[in-house]
Amino acid sequence: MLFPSTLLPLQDGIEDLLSSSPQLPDWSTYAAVAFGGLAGAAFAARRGFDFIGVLGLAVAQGLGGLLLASILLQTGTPFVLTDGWYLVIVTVAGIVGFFFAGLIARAVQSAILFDALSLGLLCAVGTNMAMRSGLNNPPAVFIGVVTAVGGMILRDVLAGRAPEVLRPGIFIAFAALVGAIVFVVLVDIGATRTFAQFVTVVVVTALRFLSVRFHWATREAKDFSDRVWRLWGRKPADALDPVTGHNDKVR
Amino acid sequence: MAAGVLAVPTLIEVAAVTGGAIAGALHARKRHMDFMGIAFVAICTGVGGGAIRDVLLGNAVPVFLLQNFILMAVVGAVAGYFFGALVSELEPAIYVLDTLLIGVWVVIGAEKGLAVGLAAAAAVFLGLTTAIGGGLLRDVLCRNVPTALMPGQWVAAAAIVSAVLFVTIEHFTGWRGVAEVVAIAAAALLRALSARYNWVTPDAVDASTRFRRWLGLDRSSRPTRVN
Repeated sequence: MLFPSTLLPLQDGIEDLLSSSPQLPDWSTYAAVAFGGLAGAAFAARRGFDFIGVLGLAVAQGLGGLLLASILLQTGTPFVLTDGWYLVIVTVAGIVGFFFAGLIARAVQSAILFDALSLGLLCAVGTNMAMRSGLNNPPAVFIGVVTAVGGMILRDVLAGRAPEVLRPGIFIAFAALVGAIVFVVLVDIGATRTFAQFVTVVVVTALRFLSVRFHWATREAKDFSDRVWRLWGRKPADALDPVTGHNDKVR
Repeated sequence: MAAGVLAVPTLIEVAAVTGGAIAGALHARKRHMDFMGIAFVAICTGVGGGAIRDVLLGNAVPVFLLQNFILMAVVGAVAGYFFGALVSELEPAIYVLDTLLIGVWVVIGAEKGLAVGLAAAAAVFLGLTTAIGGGLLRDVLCRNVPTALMPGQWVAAAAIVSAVLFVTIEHFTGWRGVAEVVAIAAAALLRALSARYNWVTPDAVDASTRFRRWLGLDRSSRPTRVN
């Protein structure tokens, strides 16, 4: 539905039982998917993919996360397929991305807010789906993060690159993690799912946006093993080599 | 746990998931990932095989989402993130655990397949998927060529042999217990022996030249080597 009538908290109960589509107003999920599709298409077009490749990566990034969540939760046919609009939107995004890749790439750079909003929406939708399937909190958080970043991971894997979201950089997966945890905690202390979804969207969007604005970045793994060794009273072992990650010094 | 599927003690499952997660985390470290990356790869390595199997079966929510395996995997990821050198000392233990348990996952996968009435070949495939799926996911996420698919130790090969043994014995004798024991032992034994005696799975042999000479099509004196 186009009008956000699902925001009424009264509808929570029956809506939860009956519908398998996300609980946020549909147009917001459509927007998130469209934005993912545009980003994926622009990514592919600028790396020399052909028409099918651009469409494929648009679908992968736009729908990948929601598809993964639906498949993992086994909620019947994924709702991105039963609701035909999703594929139409992503295809249109792919076509637009095919012809205006440079423009979109520049627009995506400057429209970080939309990117962040799309991340937040997907995270909220995914966590909500997981909670509605009756999962415990930790798996629900996992599903939320997968929904939010799964599309990007899928895109990178299809393009033969190391997934960008898993490497040090601005808060993407981390923002989704925080948002999903916020959702789960809010629902646990008795907030309605709709309210929790709103807060999640705000939190994820804000974190993602601010991390770009203030250059917050996630860090690579550090090694505190030597402290444990010292505590243990043993000679500290060689730390892992920061470049290779191996413990390959000759002792 | 579905009926007719091998029940594994929770302790062993927890140890296997955590061990797999630690191995995945150490792998992801080498790829310079951040915490979310390490946690994601650790979870995928720890529970990936079972997840792929359950998704393929498509009749229930994957087991790892119903039990708190994700927490175990996250524990492994945290350990791998902050104490890489420390937990890398655990690698031999994880290796031994993995060697001993690979047959268990094969049997569980095959039994779950048989339980929903799949054909024998499909059950073998599910067993193989359960055993090596986590490693495959890890390698794809770390952008390596999946080690399970390359010439090397008998891991996937041991899993296939074990799955075929299980399905065959189960089909012809109906002794499920015997089939389980034989399959689990065979997988562990094959893998251990291949490690001990450096057995390497062969890569493709090109017999076409020999075949052409046998047919009398190729008159050259010696068969040429392709690679």
